[in-house]
Amino acid sequence: MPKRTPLRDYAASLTDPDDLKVLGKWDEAFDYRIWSARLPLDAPQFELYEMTPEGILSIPQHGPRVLHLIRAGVPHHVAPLFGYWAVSDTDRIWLRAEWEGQASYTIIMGGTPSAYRCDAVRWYCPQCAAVLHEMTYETAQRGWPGFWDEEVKAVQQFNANTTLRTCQACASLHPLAYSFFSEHDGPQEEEARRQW
Amino acid sequence: MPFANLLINEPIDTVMEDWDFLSEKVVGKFSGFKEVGQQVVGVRHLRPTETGVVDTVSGGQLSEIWLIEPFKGLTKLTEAPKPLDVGVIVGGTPHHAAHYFGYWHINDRDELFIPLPPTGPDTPIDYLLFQQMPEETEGDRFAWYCLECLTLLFERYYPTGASGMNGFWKAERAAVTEYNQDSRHRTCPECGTVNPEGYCWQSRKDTPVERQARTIW
Repeated sequence: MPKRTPLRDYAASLTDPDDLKVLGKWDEAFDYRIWSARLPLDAPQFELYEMTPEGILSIPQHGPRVLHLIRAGVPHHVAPLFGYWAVSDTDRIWLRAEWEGQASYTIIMGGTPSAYRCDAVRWYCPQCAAVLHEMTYETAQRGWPGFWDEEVKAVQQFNANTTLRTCQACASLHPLAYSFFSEHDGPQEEEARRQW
Repeated sequence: MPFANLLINEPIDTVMEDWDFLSEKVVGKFSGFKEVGQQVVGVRHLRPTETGVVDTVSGGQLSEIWLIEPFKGLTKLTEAPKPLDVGVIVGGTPHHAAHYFGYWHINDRDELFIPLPPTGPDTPIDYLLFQQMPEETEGDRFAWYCLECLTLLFERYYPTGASGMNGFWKAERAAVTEYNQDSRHRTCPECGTVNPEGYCWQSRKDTPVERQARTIW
């Protein structure tokens, strides 16, 4: 979970084995939050999707580097990293870089502090894109670290209630959700992580 | 993917502009600083040479980053950052890149710098720069401190939040020129040290005096 002491250097270099310990965790660097992970190139890669008014846009991840800005307010889903659509009042910078058989992924959250009020976890109907359920967390008021407890609860609540996962418009059933942190997965969430 | 029928099938370039800032067609837009979303983004290309790394756009040589931090005073970051380490310059921290830009830059908002891994043995090393876009009442300062005792000598402010990044480089040039015009600006009122002149990020437009100063600090 995020450190209480802000960072001056977020050490996640490709060249230093000591830096491996930061991987997979969110760290706070004053007004920015940083997360990173590495995947072998021969393993399945993360897939980034954005929900737009026209439909779902897949952001290509091929090539040695991708630097993409997920703008504040744009619902986005990363398979198989988190099983919901994240919506934030702040930008997320998405960086993918390949080197020596690995792909490094970095997500940096931050932007205009006065605009940053909330983070949300949302689910859309997979057939008609109607909003099925949403948890909104008042990040500015309650603090960033508390978001992750609420995220886990929201995922559990969504998975435990078929009504929440059933579209009122078209009756489609949404697959199960999963948390950003796979340590919260049960067998059902593990299976969901493989699905979407 | 259970959302298959909602996926947009058109090529992404026809749907979203500049979706990858590092693509060949787009990266040139970030050779200075560009506002995008809630960020100010820059991409620098640094080519290793026998004497250090040289910015392929500005022509400046980057070696050390100096910071003036609360309770620490002057800190010099002498080691080149490793690929994908994220350097954080906290808002309000005066920072100077020796031989690269000849002033202390002070942003009101945080700044990150990230070196990318090389794409080949002879390719430049790309650095990503991110700054939070300043709020309406915030901006950037170009400052000079005495190199002996860190007394503030001279400072000019650019209201980036209100005026946008388009005027940033013009403000930088004006501040450097004004500072260099009068040796009293460079003379420390506390210890009497006469400090070297300032210089801009863009080395190709250096005056002879600025070129000389660039070799000193």
